[in-house]
Amino acid sequence: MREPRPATPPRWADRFLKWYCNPDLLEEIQGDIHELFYARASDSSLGRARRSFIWDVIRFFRWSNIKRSKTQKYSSNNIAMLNNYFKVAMRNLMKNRIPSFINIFGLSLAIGCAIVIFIFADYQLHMDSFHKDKANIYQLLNAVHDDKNKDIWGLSPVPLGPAIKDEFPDVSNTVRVFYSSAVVKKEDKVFSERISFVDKEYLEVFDFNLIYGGRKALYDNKQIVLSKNIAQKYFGETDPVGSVLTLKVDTAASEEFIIGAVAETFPLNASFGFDILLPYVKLETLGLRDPTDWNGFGRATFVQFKPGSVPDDIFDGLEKFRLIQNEANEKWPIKRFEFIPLDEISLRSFEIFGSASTGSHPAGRMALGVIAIFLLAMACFNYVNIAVVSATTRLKEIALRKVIGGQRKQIIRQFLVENILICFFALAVGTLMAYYLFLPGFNASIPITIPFEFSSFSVAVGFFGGLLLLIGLISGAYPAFYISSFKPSSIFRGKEKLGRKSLFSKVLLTFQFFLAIQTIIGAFIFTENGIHFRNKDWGYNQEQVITILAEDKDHFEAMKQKITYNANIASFSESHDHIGLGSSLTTIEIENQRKQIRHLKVGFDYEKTLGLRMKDGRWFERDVQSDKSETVVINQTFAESMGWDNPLDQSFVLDSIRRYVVGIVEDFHYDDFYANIDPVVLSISAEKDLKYLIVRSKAGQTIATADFLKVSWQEVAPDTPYIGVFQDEVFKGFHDEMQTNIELMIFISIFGLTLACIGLFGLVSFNITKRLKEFGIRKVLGASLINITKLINRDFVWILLVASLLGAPFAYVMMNQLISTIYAYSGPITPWPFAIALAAMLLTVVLTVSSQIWKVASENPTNILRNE
Amino acid sequence: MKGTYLGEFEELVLLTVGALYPDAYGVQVKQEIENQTGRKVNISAIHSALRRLEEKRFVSSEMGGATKERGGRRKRIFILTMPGKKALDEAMSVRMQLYKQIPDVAFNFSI
Repeated sequence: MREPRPATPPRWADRFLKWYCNPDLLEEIQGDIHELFYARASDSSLGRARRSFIWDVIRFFRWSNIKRSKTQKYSSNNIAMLNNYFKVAMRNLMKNRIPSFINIFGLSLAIGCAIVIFIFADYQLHMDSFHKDKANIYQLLNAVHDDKNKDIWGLSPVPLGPAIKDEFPDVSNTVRVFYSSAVVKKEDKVFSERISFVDKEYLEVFDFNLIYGGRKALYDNKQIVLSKNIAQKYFGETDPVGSVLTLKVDTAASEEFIIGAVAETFPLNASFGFDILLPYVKLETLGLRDPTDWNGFGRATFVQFKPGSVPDDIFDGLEKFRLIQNEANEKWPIKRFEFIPLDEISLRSFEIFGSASTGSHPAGRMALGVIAIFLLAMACFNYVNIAVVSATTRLKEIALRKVIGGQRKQIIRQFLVENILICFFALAVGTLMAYYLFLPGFNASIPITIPFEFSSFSVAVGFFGGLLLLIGLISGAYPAFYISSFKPSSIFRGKEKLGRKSLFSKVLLTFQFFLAIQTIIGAFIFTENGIHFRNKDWGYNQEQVITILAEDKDHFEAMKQKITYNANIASFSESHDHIGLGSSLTTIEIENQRKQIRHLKVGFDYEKTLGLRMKDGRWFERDVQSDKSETVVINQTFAESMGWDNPLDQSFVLDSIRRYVVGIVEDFHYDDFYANIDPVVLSISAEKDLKYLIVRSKAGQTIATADFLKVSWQEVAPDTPYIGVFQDEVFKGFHDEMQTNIELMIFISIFGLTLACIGLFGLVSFNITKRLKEFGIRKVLGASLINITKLINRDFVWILLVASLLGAPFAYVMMNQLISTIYAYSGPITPWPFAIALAAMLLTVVLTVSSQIWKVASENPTNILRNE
Repeated sequence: MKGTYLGEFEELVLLTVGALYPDAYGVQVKQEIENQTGRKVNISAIHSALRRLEEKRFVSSEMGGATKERGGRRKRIFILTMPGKKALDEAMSVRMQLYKQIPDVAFNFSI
């Protein structure tokens, strides 16, 4: 018989077993499977035995057999210490319930606020991010004025879009947008709707989802695309594709259009969308714009580049078109082109004239960001203060840890772990607060709704993780490093004292009150400014004035007839432009210079109806023939900016006619208070251009007049929607925004004050608890309540005083700066906000401290002293 | 602790350990079970069961002699303990009791 060839189990499997197996179990396991291997090897083939061996090794690879001994010993000690840290931390939290609660609550408030503000900022920074090709889509902007910061126009010449697409191979698409309005009619429903003429590729460039129809809907000139709202308004829940709507755009004849597609409700972060889309070519057929006319402006031109191309590639080539435009349009020559990426449009929307997208002024966002940092800083300071003071009660623990071999490193680690634990609680509570309280509240006060969402998962993880580490480390670093530095011997001998006398915690508390004073004063100044705006003189009498728009000449005349015979109407005027509803920029030639000014074409009774005030000279008169075309009235700013000695002798060329100044009107606000008042010229409008009817009702008859106008309109023009505006509401948006700002600021200042007081309360209560015995002895020796109150208050009043003295002037400078950057016309800053802020601070401080003093006062000294 | 409940497989292993006295160790138990029941059992399952039984104090163990097939490695020899015996008795008596309670009619399969 042949000797079986020397059979061994696979070495790698054996090694693997040795590597993972717990050494205590290795011998028996290895023995058993080796025995099995040899048995199998002699029974059947070697290969099968080897395979079985491998399988056995794998089957033994289970938790109970795996080696944990070596690393386990090392890490288990660490884990044990970590466990101990958590345990001690929890015990400490439980022992000092009130300060812990204050800590966590204060931090949570601040974190909640910071989360909401972060979400808000994150949301604003990721507007329009749902468009897939956003990296390659740019809007073309035009600097029309030489002044770099001012006149960036979103408006661009109509022929520019196709010209760019034809000229540059780097450009895959250009999309022009032209906003207008149309009267939409379906059966008996008649409404005025916003419409957008867009190039046919619009739906291919922008990723608005469609419910019905396809993305090529606009390739057919007879088709239009509706938003979901509009589709529901006219067709309910049914699929309207293929149905017909009648649109009457401007003065063109009514025309029937087929519904080609319907878009889904736009994402919340869409900064622009549409109600009704029409093919751009219809602009020409309807006679609104000539596609070859470089003189005409459309609302916006978007350029989609091919992947890999950037605007710089075509920048030089654009010069050609700029020259063509400059030649065609002398009034508004484009100085420079500029491209902004799609996702920045809403951020810069505030500075773009005629922007296609919505977006608010960044000042609000920046202020909110600063406030978030303020609040977090205050909460951290609270924390540091209370942590330092509370550590005094733990000095012995620290000393003992050191004596039995704890290294400084470990003590630091212990304190940081504690901090991070507290921060973790605070973060959890703060997130809940943000979700259930702050974000809904914030949403209620702003016009848009922000979802509790982050732009991406990594942003959320980064934000929360960063917040946790940042707050945990920053607020924990000082106590950890400071306290761990004490020598155990001096702690045991009672040499180390900290907390009450610590300069550091005083500085922190001072700084906290400094910040609180900032926010309170800021809020009051903002509020005062808001009140100032509400009461501010508009330069004319905006009450009791109603304006209606009648673009059709027949309607206009018919309405005029009706108005003339109404007894409730004190006066009325016709006009082409109107304050708050539209004025145009125009170029005049004056003393051989060209100058851009604002031009209002009005009627003869405009001054009387609106209550404009003449500064000098006279208003236009019907009897004076030259007033129809040769004279102008200018505003005060105009007269002053020219530096004329006698403005009434002056003249300039406007619309190629020499005009003589006959009167100067006091400055009036033709725009909201964000904007400066620029030079304005008023002239009498040509008869055919009149389109507004401006009506001043008699006192107390405004509502009746409004009803009368509406009813009359429906008689005169049943097919055209009624557009009537109260003059005191033309800047309603501005005033609503002011109101929102004021509400936010008041909320924030109450918040700041609460945080500061929470910190103060914690500190005072710790101080008093520590000094209870001292106060007990004082009371026994005959100290009165007043003495003790003085004693306790002394420190804090000083802190408050220093904080106020530093804070008030600083707040003054800061707020002055802020308000003057946001608003062109702000009110003067009075001492009231400062007085009120200081009074509020003082009151809350006194209340906070008194509530603690009551503890001392009401306690019988024997109870305190006996407890030894 | 899971308590001292005896699982089906554990009971089988425990019985085998008793039956193989004084030679019960991993491979032996495995082979005995395979011979007696015809079940294929993996050695690692035997080890786990034995360790659990030891935790429950139903078996005790010590390291035994080395043999050549094992490459000079010692075996862990398992011995049935008093509590182990008791647990087996209990399990057995519970079964018998229940078995006796089955009415005869239940055995009448020819329906």
